[in-house]
Amino acid sequence: MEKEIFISKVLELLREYSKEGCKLWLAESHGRRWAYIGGYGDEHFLPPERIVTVGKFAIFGEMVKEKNKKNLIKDIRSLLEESSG
Amino acid sequence: MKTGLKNFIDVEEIQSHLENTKKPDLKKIEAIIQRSLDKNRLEPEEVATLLNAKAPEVRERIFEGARELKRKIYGNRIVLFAPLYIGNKCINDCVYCGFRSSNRAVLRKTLSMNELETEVKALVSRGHKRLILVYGEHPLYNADFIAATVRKVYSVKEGNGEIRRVNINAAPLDVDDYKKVKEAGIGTYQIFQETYHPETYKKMHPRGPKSDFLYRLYGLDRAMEAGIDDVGIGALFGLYDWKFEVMGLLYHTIHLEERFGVGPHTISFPRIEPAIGTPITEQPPYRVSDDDFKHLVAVIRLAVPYTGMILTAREPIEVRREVLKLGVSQIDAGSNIGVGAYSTEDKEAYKKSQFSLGDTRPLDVVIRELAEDGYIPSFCTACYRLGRTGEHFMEFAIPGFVKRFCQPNAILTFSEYLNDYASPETREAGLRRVQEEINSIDNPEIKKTLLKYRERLDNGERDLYF
Repeated sequence: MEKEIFISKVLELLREYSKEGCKLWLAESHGRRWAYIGGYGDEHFLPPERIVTVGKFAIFGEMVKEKNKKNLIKDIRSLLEESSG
Repeated sequence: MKTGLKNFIDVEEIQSHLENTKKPDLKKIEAIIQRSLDKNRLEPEEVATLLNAKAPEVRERIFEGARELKRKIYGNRIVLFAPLYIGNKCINDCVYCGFRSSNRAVLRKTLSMNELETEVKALVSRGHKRLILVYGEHPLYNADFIAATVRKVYSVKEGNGEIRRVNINAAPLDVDDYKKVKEAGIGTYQIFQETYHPETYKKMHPRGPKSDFLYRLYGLDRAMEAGIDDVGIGALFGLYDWKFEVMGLLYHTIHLEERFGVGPHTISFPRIEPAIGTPITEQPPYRVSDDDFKHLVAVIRLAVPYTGMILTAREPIEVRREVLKLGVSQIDAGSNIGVGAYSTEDKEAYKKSQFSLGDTRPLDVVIRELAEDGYIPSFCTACYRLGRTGEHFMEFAIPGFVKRFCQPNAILTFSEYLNDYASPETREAGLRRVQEEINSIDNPEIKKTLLKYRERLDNGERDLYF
């Protein structure tokens, strides 16, 4: 999958999941740095966690429910399978 | 030369703004300060008005505005870093620079990768977490070399410490080369225009690639085209009229905002300092007095409320103390600008230096003073490692960001410093400061998490952040 398409699909997912009251954002690593690409949801000012890393990309979040985390990871995997299939 | 580049520094327009605002009245100044306190980037005419303020009471009002803005947006944190000179070879011949190619008095040196590692270990063992790597302009210091040095710095561990953010001050590159440097994980890419006055620029840069005013002026455009979202601009004060240079910095900011939707991450405003074998530095053509320097710092603070301001150790201690209050967000401390001088006692270090420093106190002493003066020294790099960087005017845009992220992260990185590197006196003053700062946090959730994190730091964990 082209990088741009992957990014836009991930962002679309994040937008949906953020409707449940959490904050989610996508970042890309450059060396030790994670550069923000885009995200959704209100700031909760809590220590964020890295939910999933896919190659050079990672999704960070605040206040994400365990169930949503699992589903989000599943959805991301499906996106990847879609791209490799 | 590179064609199609338009000079966005409109000399006549700047001069006319400065001419037309020569007699600013207090009422107008008040209105401009209020616009800045409402977090608006000021317009050229407004900045010219502030620059033209001469009466002590009007300048004092501008200082008050700058202090208030600093408190409002940045709080009492001061971010600390150190410059690390990688090499002083240079093919430019800038009249004011100790590294210029025709300067026979300077000893040329480039750090080997092993020497670089030794330098980084020396810096880490003093408590540094953030560096700016500085390079002359030379074919040897190409993008591959810069990227390799950045990777090397990040790879070094010493005790509990490591460098967590590497910024770059180097020659302008082409887009593909910036991409290579970006991949190494840099923080800010800094290029100083030195002077925004084209005629003066020509006189000061007679030979070498740097003599191309427009190529340098667009250097950070190319960096941003390459995806580097933190860039730093600066002017070397003393080459031309200081009011004009502040306007130049503003025009550069506006240009980046218009083209990329975001201005520079930082602005630097060094004054010329003496350099070996460089007579012009003893008698700069437009020397800036301490009073005018303080004024220009306050005006920059008000002009670009959301931009970080860097004050370097070029300035003498007393000036640093005063200017800190006026809006500075970052300073270097414990700096040594001789190539290889952090790890060796080099009696000839000054011969390998670009200029001389006004504040040579060790980091520990500077930190103690900051703590005693009510600041929270910060080594925070959290946003940069959590993918929050693209929102880098977040501090400005989101109410409460500083209180809820930056303040606790400053406390945590300061606590790490106090645990690992501080002298007993600094530790005592620092812990007192930390306690006061924790007491001032009113959000119970943040306070609880912060206290838990501090306990984990005391138990040996490191690098905890919000």
